[in-house]
Amino acid sequence: MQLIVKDLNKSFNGIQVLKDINLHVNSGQIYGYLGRNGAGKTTSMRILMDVFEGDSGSISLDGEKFRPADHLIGYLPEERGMYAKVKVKEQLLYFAELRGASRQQAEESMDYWSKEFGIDQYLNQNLETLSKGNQQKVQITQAFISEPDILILDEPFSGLDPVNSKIFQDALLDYIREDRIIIFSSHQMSYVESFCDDIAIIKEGRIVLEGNLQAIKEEMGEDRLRIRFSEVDQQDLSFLRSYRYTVEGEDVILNLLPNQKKKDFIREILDQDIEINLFMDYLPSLQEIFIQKAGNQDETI
Amino acid sequence: MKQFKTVFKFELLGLLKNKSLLITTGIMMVIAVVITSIPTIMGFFGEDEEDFDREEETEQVEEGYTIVYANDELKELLRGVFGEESYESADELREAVKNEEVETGFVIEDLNQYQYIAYDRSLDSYEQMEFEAQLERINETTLFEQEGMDSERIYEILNTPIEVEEVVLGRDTGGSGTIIAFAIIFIMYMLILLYGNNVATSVAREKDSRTMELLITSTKPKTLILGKVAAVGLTGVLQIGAIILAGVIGFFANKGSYPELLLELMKDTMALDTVAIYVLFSILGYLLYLFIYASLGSLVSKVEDVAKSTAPITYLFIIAYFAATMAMNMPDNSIIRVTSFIPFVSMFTMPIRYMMTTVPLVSVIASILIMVLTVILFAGISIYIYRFGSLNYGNRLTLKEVIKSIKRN
Repeated sequence: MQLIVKDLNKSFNGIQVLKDINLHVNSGQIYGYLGRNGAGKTTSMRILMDVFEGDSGSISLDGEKFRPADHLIGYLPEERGMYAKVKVKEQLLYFAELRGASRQQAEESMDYWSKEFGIDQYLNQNLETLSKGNQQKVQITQAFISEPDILILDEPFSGLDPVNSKIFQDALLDYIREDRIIIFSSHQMSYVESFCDDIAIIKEGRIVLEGNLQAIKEEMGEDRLRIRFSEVDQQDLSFLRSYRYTVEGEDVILNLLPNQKKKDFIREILDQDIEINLFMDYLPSLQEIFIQKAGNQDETI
Repeated sequence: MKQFKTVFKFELLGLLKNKSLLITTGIMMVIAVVITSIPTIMGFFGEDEEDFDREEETEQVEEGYTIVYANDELKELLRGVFGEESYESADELREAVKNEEVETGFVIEDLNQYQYIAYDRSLDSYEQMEFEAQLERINETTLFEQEGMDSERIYEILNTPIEVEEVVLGRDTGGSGTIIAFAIIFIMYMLILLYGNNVATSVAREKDSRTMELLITSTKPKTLILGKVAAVGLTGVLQIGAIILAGVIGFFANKGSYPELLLELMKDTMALDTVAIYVLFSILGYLLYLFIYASLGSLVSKVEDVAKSTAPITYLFIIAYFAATMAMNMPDNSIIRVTSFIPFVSMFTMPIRYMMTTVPLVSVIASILIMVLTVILFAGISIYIYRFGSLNYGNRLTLKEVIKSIKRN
């Protein structure tokens, strides 16, 4: 399956929030939709879920117009909201049944996922009696119940501690199937990097980067090297004066000169009788990519 | 349909499990039983009370009025009726009243003039009315005799009865059904005010708690609103039904001690077709108001704003209620006739007109049609606002915006 968002625009009160958004989401992997606060992630997801309509543009699934109502979708809205004074069990079953599951399916699925996310002991309590983190887990469980084909999660990590984040990531990785689409948004790069396949970065309503994370890393790392010199004082890197470089711990991240080959650079260094401990292609972290793409150039981070 | 059932079941169970609702219903049922048992309860005290009454009565007669005659002539003339003078002069009487020796007193100055002396005066006193009537009669008789007329004959003429034969060509209810009608109006009034606000709050709470987004992405807003209104509506009927049932049980358990007069009143009946009209209009009116309240609940996004938002319709409904009580007294008034076609009021006034006057069947059907269309219209509006409201988080929607948006689409 492939979900394609094409030239999507949306304005609120004359302010354009989304500008020609184009996304290509493939089934069988996890798609990370990344952006800073207020970049337009939630608006995009709401349009995807038909909470409101885009001003222009189209969304299609395998070439046909995408109507959320026609599919089994698990959705975790950014504004977490469930009934405060209703038992967890009752509302989990209610939402599953509303989406079309039979009572029996809903119960089986609820039993499975509530164990998976460790909320099975809270099923008979009112939601409001749970801690914020546990409420968050109930919300996530809600999205997984009745095994949806499409999973849309808006900021699933917010409010989860590292242990719960790990549980959630594992569940998400387990959930991948050839015929399932998984999209989630986040601004916490450290969580995303380890298990995302494709990503898109949205900045001020515009997609500034989209594609396979590994390919993006390789592309953005092209002509850049990670080098560790032995017995060279970090302060005395004067031999690199004709290069652009940054220092990262013991390593130097260096941009090759235009049209310069790696072997030419090595030869040059060796000619100067400098020893090298580590020499490899540089792969930027998602954090770096994100800051470079989504951050403002003149902003100190 | 399956989804509707799901929503209906969830909402209904939520309401029926509500502790405060159960407790209120319980208390109301107990009150209903107590009220219907009043004749029995009074029976326990009955004996004593009667004795007490008789004692008081005799005392009253013995005591008579506290009288001061302005002159001996009056004393001579009236002592046979009002008894002996209690005080020598008006001043003494005034002093006595002031010192609370007696509560009230009368100074008779002439046959057509007297002074009433009391310490505190709240309402017209029964004693004064009685006294005045007696004095008036004496004065009249005296005047008739002065003119040489036979006062007894005059009173006979004044009291000649008129014989009537009533020929009714239209509807003759003879007042039957009015008690049932009053009961229905009152029940509908309670139902709509209580459960209208319930629906509005329930909708607003979903928006307040942001459950809305999950709900409208899970199923159609139509299903959600219809399921909710049906569940709240039925809960109202169940609650009122339980209270009435308690009242009926209380009545039959205590029937033996009810006075004849009350039992006679209870025999009030209503023709079957009138019952049908009442039921139909009550259901339609109930639905109409529930949908209006649901729309108004959708307009706000915070529970605390509900009261502000529903105030106008509450006022409108109270006006409708007054129109209904007015219609009971003058069902053929032209204003009432007009209101029996206006949906917000016709739920009350049309059945009353139908019960008490002759209404052409066409009018009844027209009124029903108008009502049904209005119910559908408001159901549509409430669904639209519910859905549209989700696009406007935070701000309170104004009706203007809603209308603008309907036009746009």
